[in-house]
Amino acid sequence: MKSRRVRDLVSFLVITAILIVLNVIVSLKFFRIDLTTENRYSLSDATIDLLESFNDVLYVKIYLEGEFPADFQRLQRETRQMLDEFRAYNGKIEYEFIDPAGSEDSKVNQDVFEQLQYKGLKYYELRVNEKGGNKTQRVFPGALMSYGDREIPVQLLIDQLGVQPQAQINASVQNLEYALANAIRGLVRQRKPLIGFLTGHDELDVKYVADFARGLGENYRIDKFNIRKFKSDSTGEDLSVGQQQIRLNRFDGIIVAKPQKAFNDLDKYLLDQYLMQGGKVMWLVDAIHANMDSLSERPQFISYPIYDRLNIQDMLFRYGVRINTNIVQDLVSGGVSDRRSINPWVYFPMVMPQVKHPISKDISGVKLEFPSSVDTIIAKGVKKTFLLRSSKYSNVVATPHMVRLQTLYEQPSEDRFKSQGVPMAVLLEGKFESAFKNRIAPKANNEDLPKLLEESRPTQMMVVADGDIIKNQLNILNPNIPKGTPLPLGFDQFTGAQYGNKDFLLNAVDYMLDDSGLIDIRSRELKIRLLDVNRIQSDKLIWQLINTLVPVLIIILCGVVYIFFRKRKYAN
Amino acid sequence: MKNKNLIYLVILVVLLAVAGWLLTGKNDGGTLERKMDYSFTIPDTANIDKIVIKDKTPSEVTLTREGKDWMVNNEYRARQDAIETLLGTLARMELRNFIPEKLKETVISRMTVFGKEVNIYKNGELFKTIYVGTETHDEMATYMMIKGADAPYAVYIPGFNGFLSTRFFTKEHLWKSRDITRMDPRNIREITMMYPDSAQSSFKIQMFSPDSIFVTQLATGKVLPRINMVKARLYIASAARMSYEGAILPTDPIYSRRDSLLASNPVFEITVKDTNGKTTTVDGYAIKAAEGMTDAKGDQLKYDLDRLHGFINKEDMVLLQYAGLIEVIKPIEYFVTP
Repeated sequence: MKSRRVRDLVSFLVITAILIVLNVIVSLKFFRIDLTTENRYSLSDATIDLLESFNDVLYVKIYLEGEFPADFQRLQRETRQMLDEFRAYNGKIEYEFIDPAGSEDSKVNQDVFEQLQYKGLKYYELRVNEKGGNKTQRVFPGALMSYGDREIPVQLLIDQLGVQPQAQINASVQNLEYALANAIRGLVRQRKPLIGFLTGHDELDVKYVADFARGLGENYRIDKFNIRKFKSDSTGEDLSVGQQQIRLNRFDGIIVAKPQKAFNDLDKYLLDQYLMQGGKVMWLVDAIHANMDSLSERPQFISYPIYDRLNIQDMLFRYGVRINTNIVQDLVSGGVSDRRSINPWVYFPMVMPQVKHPISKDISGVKLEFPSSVDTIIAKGVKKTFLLRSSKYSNVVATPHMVRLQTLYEQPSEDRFKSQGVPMAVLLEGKFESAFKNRIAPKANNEDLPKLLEESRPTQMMVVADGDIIKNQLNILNPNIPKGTPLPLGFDQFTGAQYGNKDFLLNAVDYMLDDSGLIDIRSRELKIRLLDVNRIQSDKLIWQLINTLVPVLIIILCGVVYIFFRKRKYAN
Repeated sequence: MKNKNLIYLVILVVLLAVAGWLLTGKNDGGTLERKMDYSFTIPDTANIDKIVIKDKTPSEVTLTREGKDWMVNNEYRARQDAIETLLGTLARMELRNFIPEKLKETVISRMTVFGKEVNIYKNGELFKTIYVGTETHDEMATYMMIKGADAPYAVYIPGFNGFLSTRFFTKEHLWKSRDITRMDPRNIREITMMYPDSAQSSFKIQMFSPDSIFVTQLATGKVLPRINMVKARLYIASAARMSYEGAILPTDPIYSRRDSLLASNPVFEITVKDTNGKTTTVDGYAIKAAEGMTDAKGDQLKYDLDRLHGFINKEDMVLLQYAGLIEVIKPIEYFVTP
């Protein structure tokens, strides 16, 4: 008996020791099994590669801490889990949650708020219920990420115009992996791709693209490139087309922002060969001339086509796209202020993303100004994806067209707005055929040009039939900042609305230039399984009883069964 | 049963071997595991009773708490604002970012040359030693390293835009309180104000109680029959709290002229005597106006209208401001009730 007891005790101790050692082993070695259908807890391969690519400490300070509503708490929780997930792949990631209003000194808190805003974080004022009334609380749903001596802001909450707060939180949670990974990429990347703003055809001036350029600057190097300006060296040699091509080819991406003057053959040749060698081009083109400023002088003006004048239609046609010389009107539109009221203006369609593409998913409405429609042409080897389409209540008018100020005050007739899904922006991907195939190349002054590339490497191009999509306003109204200061892209100072133009264009650049595949994370859909509130209310009592009584009953039952079998065993 | 235990033991041994192998191969995680290496904040500064700051020049200053005040090198009272800034810095500074591996050597070597060692004592015992280095390239943080840590870090104060190294200075004269007098006005017995160039304006105030104040004209020895008591009390209160702008050091060029200054006529000489008989004297000497300093009419000024050179007790040479002493540089007529 005694030896049996001893053996039982030894068994117990050894089994306990095994369990403890097993736990230690599991804590030392990382592994996880994701059982969700959408692989919610699994990072993408692109993210994992990125996380494993750096060796210094990456420090994340998340300012989502304090007392706030359940939705923000969920965002906080998901952020923590995501960072823990990141840490599992790279132990050099350190994070900390900080309450920016944590000091008892309100002046200190105010200084912290200002510093965070200066560093690029946005805040939100929340109304929080407290005993005795409501309180306004400032929340910074964002983080500062530092790697070495560089620090960048990361917005965790996606701001979407016209979307319910809970849906915004859902979208933000889905976007967490991309937001954090994209920020890490910007910090750890050794070589930033070079983006060029093309000049030489009266494209938008620097001040009108300043905010977008600033946004690009976090992850890219930016420069202008005047395709008409050739460099000569000190030997006084003839200007070289070949050298100009080399200079153009060093850019990883080119943005053509609202050109007004014609492209000559040489311009087109250089751009064509740039595309052929794998360069990415973003065309933001006005096919018609129409400007709101014209209405400040007179009550109407005629909009007319200018696309032919630009002389790029043949090139774009060869690549697979045509911009039509029309105007797309839409009942879902941005507003225009006449200082007395804000009225929707059908010539400024506000395009809500309908396509589940990484570029346009979960962004706020994009505002276009006098856009035209685009059509795709058969181009072998080129995949086309429409990124921006009009709503169900749109109308296409041919030009020349009289634009009347009176339209602002008239209730538009819905009978006229029966078109739907009119495309205004398209992404082309694949191998493009050269626009100069079977054509005579431009003369080059006795210079032997490199052999014409007749087909491109796999590359991408985006065409938007509105040059103003990238244009930021300049400050007129805000007395706290100097007049003429570039305002955030997408922000309308007259109506106070913030559109998603910047996010759309930044996503487009990321999509076209990022080889890591990180942008594809944006197209992932995470099913948020929310509780059915109504069912909770109706079945609450039953479940409370079950959860309280059933465990007790089970234990009693187990006890009875045990006693029964024990009695039977020893009775025999 | 015996066999079962044997099997369990074998399993345990195997698992122990695996755990041991994993533990030996485990990366320490470097700085991430050692949070004490970057815990720069000292939250409870009320318990700090001594701070010693040293640099490589070599220069050293010791700040010790004595009741509500702080002393510099156990000799002088310390500037309250500088002490509050220093303690506030220690209470609020925190980690801003980690330093890249490739920069650590450079930061440490610069810290060795230009850095300062700050020893913080609580309840008489050394609590923490921090090495304060140079500023980061964006000048928004300062490199610091805790003694015993394996790396420096960039440290900042949330909400503050700037670097912190300037708050840790070792010069005694910068820590010294700039008070000439600092006492309870009720403890003043007598104030003598002399204007060598205007004997008629010189006077002596004697206070026996707040209601018993007498003003005597020094030139005649006569006591003023009626004086404005409010102004008299205000004058005494101002004399109890005089301060200077800054110390003039032996390294300053003007210092070489101290003897000739002392031998010349001051603009004023004020002597404050307390109820214990202790006196404090301040003389002020006009400064020649710099070339180009003009009056409202555009004429070149003879003397600086804002500042004077001064001596405290004929010893310490200081820079005085007229604005700071405006309440004590008064003629006798100031006290006369019309």
